[in-house]
Amino acid sequence: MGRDRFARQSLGSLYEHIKQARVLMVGAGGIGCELVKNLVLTGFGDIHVVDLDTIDLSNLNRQFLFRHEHIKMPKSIVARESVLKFNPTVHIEAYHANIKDTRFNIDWFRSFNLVFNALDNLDARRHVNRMCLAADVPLIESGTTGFNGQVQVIKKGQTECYDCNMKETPKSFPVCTIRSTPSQPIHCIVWAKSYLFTEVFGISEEDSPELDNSEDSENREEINKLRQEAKALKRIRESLGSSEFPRMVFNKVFKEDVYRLRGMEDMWKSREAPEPLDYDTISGLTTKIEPTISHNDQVVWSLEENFFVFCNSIQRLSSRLEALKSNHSGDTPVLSFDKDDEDALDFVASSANLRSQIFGIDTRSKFDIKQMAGNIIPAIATTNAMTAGLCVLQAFKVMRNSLDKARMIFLAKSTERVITSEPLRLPNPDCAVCSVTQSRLIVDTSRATLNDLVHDLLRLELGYGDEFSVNNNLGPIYDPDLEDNLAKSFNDLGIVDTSFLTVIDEDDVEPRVNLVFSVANKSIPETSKPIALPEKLDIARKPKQRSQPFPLQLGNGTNDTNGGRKRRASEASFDTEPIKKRGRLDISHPQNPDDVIVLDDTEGGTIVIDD
Amino acid sequence: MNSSDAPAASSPAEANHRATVAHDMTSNTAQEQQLPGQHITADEIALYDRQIRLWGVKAQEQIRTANILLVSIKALASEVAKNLVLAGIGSLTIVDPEHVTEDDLGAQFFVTEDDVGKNRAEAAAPRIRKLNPRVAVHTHNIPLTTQPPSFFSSYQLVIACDLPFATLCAIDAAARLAGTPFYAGGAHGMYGFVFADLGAAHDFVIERDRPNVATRVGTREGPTRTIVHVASKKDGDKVKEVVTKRETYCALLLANAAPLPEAWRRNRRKLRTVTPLLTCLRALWEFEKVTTGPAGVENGLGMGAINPSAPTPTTATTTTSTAAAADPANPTTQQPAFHLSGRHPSPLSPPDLQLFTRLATTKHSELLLPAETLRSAFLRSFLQNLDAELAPVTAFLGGQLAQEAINVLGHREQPIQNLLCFDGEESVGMVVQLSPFVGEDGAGGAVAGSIDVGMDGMGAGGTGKDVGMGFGIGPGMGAGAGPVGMGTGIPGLAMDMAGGGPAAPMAGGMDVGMQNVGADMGGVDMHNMPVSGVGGMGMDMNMGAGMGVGTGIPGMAAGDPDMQTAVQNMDPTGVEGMNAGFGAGPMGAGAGAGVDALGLAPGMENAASAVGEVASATGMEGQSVETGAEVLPNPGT
Repeated sequence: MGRDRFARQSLGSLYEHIKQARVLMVGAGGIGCELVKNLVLTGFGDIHVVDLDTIDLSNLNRQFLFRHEHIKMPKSIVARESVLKFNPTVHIEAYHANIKDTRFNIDWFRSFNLVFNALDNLDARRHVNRMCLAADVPLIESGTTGFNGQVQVIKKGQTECYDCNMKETPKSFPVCTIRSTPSQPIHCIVWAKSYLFTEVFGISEEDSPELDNSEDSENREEINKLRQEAKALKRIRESLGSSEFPRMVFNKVFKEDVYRLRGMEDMWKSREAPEPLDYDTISGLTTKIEPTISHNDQVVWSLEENFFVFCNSIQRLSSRLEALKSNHSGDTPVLSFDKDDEDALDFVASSANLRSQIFGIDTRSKFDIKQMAGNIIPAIATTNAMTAGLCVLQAFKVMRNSLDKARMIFLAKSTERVITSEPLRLPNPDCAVCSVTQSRLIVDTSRATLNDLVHDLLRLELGYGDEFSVNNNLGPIYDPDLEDNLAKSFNDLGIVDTSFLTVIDEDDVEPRVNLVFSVANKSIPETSKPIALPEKLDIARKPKQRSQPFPLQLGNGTNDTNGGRKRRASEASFDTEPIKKRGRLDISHPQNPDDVIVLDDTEGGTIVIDD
Repeated sequence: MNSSDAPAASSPAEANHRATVAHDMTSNTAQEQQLPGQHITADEIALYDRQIRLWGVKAQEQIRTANILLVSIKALASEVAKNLVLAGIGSLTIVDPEHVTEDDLGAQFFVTEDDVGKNRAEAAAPRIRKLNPRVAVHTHNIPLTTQPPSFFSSYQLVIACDLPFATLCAIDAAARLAGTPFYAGGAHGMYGFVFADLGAAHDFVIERDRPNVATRVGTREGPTRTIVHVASKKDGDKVKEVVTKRETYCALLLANAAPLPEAWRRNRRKLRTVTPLLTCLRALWEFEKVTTGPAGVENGLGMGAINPSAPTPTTATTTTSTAAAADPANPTTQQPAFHLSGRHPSPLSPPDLQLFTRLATTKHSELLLPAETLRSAFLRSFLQNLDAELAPVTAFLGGQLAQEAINVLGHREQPIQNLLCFDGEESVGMVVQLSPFVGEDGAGGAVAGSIDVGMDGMGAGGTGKDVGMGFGIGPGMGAGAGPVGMGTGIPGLAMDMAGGGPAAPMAGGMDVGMQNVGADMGGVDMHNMPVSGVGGMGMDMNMGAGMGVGTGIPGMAAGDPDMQTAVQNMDPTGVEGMNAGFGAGPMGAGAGAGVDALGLAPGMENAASAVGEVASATGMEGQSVETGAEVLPNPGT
């Protein structure tokens, strides 16, 4: 009788393993709250929770371990406190930290029986995937978006890893579409957020790392003109704070620039030409507008209302920037767009709608614009609850050592089922992350140089030829044409404990598979070499014929009414049409933790990243 | 008005807490003011942002005003409560007569060690409230079956979890009569189910890309689903189709007797994929029934958990609910030993295992499933998991059930039709359509058995206008066709006025073996509406239900309001009589129980007198009780 009666009854001998298990959960958000509840109730004995985030109002509709009074507190800490009440007999450790922190090294990962990912971004997912492969710890990966969810079991050498198939990259748009020929609301929203807002209040376009304004022969002239426009806007920025400022900005971007565009007659042969707006004409019509209009985010504002919100928000933002300047020395302060900053959102929403009006595009409500500008993914408690439940059910199979019974599961409702599943797939032999030789590399990072690795270890000890490269997460640090770094120490190169290095053999004849080193920093006496392998390595050669990508194994039941996997799969393929490489604005902001990226893997099951 | 609410608050402090919550709800920030043209506040939009982006403000409006009744709160229902309260429903009313036990701590996260021995609903409520102060959470431990149908009609949804089959059927019947959609759920360790009875017509909207061939109104998408409206909507440069579909549901009792869909029965490969969990659930429900014998005891309302291994019920305390209701100050007197007469097999008892295996084999072949898909290993595993609560499974089922509920309130998305079987070992979540409705060819669906065409003696003769398919439920569960009379009622009397196929008299069959107690389904008939002119099956499903409780406690019997309409259409003169109810058969013969018919149709004026008259007319020891006595307060208040 008692708390563990049912767990013993249902799970039998597995329950003893569960009680002894030490598990890691990365992420304490939507899935995480549900997951840690399940783990604690099921009786997992030692649970470690890592999350760097703090609690936000918009979390409370689904992250049930958090309440209003917890807003701004660390998720991991509050989750631990809430969930301990459910079962005081388990041990929980909470870390308010980034999982990429060096203290969470391979040895630490190796101390767990099982790792759960409950993350909201690609970067952290990939990192944990790599760490689990390197530490040879099974990983339960999961994600949700709206009504859809997905659970995947990853075990080194036995299943696909997270990177075995391509993840969709965030959408981007050609600069000319955004700046000259918008045709959809999203184009105007990107313009308002990534061009206008940053030009007026933020880091100007030229300095922004996100913008690639490279030109080609076709768009050179246009790009030059756009550059001049941006410069003119920068000059207007010097009047920031004056009462004339809204009028100057308005007439510049919604009137003069539009007249210039209109003048390019070739552009408007197959499109409707834009209609410029005039500040003085509209301002006479705004007397009846309620000042609270900007709070009404559900309705689509009229032209006058957009005008009003534009002028009002530009003033609000200007005063904020002025105030910042007065208490600030050194660099000029700037504002950056944040979807939860009402002033910034009002500015972007009204500017986007004014631009839409000019180009004859549908205008949108502030609520809708926030979603597009902030890449907000719908998220609900029920999907997270179901997904987290399935994660633990898969964990049972891993812990019973019956990986053959584990399944890749999708929440995808049809008239005949509420989930679809398929067997786990074998590793992709071409995967650059898991189909590699892995080794630890013991390094005294203060003493060892790149040359110690390239020459002494790779060439002399392991027999590499001339053609190979050494890469960190940003790209190559050594290849035959890049020898500048050879004399630098690991520390100088930013290679520290927990860093990964990939050696890619580019030999023409029988190249080796990629070699992935996980760096373990140890201080080594001067008498010994500063770099060493913990054990002898046997690196396989790449198969001659590169195998085809994995065949799709769709679940067989999609007699659905709401759109199941098959439909999403076909939709996904539309999203992955070839994209040009240059001259694109990237609308994602990876530095902003609130931004969420949706990924479609090759078979169309959407992995999502709940914030 | 709120006397029955009072027992829920175990202390004045708790009552105060509720008042405080109510206060908080009205005095938040400035943004709490409602914006013009909408009821939802800006604060709520900010709080519910991520879900409104999925289902829209309109659906959220419907969710926020919904009053939901949750019957029995164990692990699965805790998950449901969590998800619904987070989603921002209007109110949640939890009814549970049981106490928290040590075992409950395993998967029920709203109760702690300190709550052991307290009423389960009352123990959970304060923590549920904390999840979302905007949602009013009430508790009751009033016997449900003594409530008039108006009790159920004040809810937009009734959800009952982890209860005996007979209890689920009784609640389903009452909800159906009140026109309230009903969900049932149950968890057994690695296994579980969700059942939906959303009434004769549940409409929902789906949006999709416009197909090449335009969708036509009136298209039937199987035996239960019809397209009732099609509109289009511009979404950027795409045109979307907004399709309203209508699903017709049947009661749990009928679903449990219905065959698999015809298309499945004709497809051997399909049958091989049907989870044996379906068989085991039916066998379990049958086990409950057959283990209800003379040893079974009245439980007052058919509520309460099944004791998995103790077949001996405790003393037959016949605490009538009337007496209990008269003593609201002392909630404990309201808690008779709620052992239902039925029980579950014990994995340690060889006779139980034998019986269960036999029942499972029978159910499996009744479903026309291939023998090889019912393996002994599965039976063992199922029995091993019986009545256990496992957090990941209840989380999955509770997520599913709550999402269904939310979609039903918002009239969005296709709901399950009608039984979801979840197997956490095999990662299977299969939706099985178990419905007596048949396809357009009008054939099939009949279950062997007797033809039960019978009317309660009170009915006046039929006019023979309407020929319908009677689906009566008697000892043998029968379906058959028969000429059926159109009744003409006598005003003011509770009458069995079977307008189409009449209800079978109920003693025995559906009396789930409980002597005086239980859920009695009056029967079901599907009108063959003359308007159609052909032999197609009408969409109208009528059901009468009778529930008798204890000695001299009023039961309920009523017909689906739809049926009244149907009858009205055919014979306006019968209206008043029809309103008096339908489908009550005498039951529990010899046990001294009276079945009192209560009219349930809207507009029924003289129910109480009708009760009395029927009781006396049938010469039974019926005792009528004012129906108003135990009406619960409106959950919204």
